[in-house]
Amino acid sequence: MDFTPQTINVSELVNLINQTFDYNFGKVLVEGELANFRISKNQWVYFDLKDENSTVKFFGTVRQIHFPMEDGMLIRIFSYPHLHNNYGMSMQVEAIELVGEGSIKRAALLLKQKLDKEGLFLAEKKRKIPYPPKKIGLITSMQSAAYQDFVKILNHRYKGLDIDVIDVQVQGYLAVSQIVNAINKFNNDLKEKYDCLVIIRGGGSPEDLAAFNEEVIVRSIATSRTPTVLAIGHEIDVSLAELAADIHASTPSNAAELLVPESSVLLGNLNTARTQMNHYLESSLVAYKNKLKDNKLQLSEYLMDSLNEMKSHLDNRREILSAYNPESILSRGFAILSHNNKIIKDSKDLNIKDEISIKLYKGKILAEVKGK
Amino acid sequence: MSDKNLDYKKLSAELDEILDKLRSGEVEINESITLFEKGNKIISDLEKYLKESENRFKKIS
Repeated sequence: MDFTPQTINVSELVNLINQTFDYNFGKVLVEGELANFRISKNQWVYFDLKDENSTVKFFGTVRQIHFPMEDGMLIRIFSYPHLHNNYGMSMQVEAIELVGEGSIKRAALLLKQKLDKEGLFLAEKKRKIPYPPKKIGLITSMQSAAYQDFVKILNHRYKGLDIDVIDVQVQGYLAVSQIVNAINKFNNDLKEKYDCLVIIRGGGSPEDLAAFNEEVIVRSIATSRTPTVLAIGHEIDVSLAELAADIHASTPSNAAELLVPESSVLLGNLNTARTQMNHYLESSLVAYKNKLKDNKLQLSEYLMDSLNEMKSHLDNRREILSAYNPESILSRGFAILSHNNKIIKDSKDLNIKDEISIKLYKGKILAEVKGK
Repeated sequence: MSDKNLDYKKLSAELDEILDKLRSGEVEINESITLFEKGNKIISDLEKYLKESENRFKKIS
């Protein structure tokens, strides 16, 4: 039997090819060097991926780009082939990640320059975290050694914290979206009020840590309503996410150390406070007693002064009074002369031969007027 | 069991305030005694909290 191919139109051909791709090809991870990278209308992304012998066209959207891209970078792309009805064959991008230390560092540097200009890492933007906090939102992989270290140091140092944990992947394709969602959840969805968000991850290769240099995570941390504490990897390479955080700890254990004081130190401080308080109260009591003593002294001095003053006033009056006492005048040699019980002050009131009585200081005599 | 709602930071600040007042020596003796009693209560509460409470971890899904 002769085989006569069925005639189809061009659109049908496009559909047929795409169906065949979908069915037989699936999605592939392909790695290569970026070339001819360009963005069209702020929306579409076109570039080539190449190696020594081949070059293939790729097509994606700007939303799939989480880090600065430039020709020469080594990247890995999750993609599938697609025949466009007008523009021909290209690989459709699902996700992109950087490959190798060189590309990762270059992308981080470019992003840092961009975000620096926006002032995202400025020191004056850093907020303080209550010390010690009461409620912590923790974002990490609960299977990681970083989580175990953090919990161990935290439990060793301080008790009484409420720690809500969102378990996320800290590397790979899902890491970025899971971490950003967790930050949003702690900030917006949960009704609780957190004192800080802590994001931790242990050390790893530059590729393992690449998520923490992605723009969406860095921005999410920089704009988090709740203050952030980050400890990602080792001290040597600081990720942009850490630079955007309010507090950057060198390791997950260090994050625990920065977050809470040591209970033993606090107990020691409380003991000192108790001793100080006893001392202050004792001093107050002594001061109060001394003050009372002073008051008593002052009071008796005042009383004495008043009494002395009254006494001298009285003496004074007594002297004046005694000056008026006739007895006292008589004692100085004066005498009171009387005639018929009438005191004589004028010689005219007497006649010759009148009998007069003379009262002296001591005693009395009778006499007769002999002349005037 | 210690009070899980105890606000360590707040109480600790209150204790500092009491110590400052007592240190200044400018409070009346009656107030000194009240402050002393209040300070001792705070110290005991904080000690109890530090010794008896636990960290509570909760996984959010």
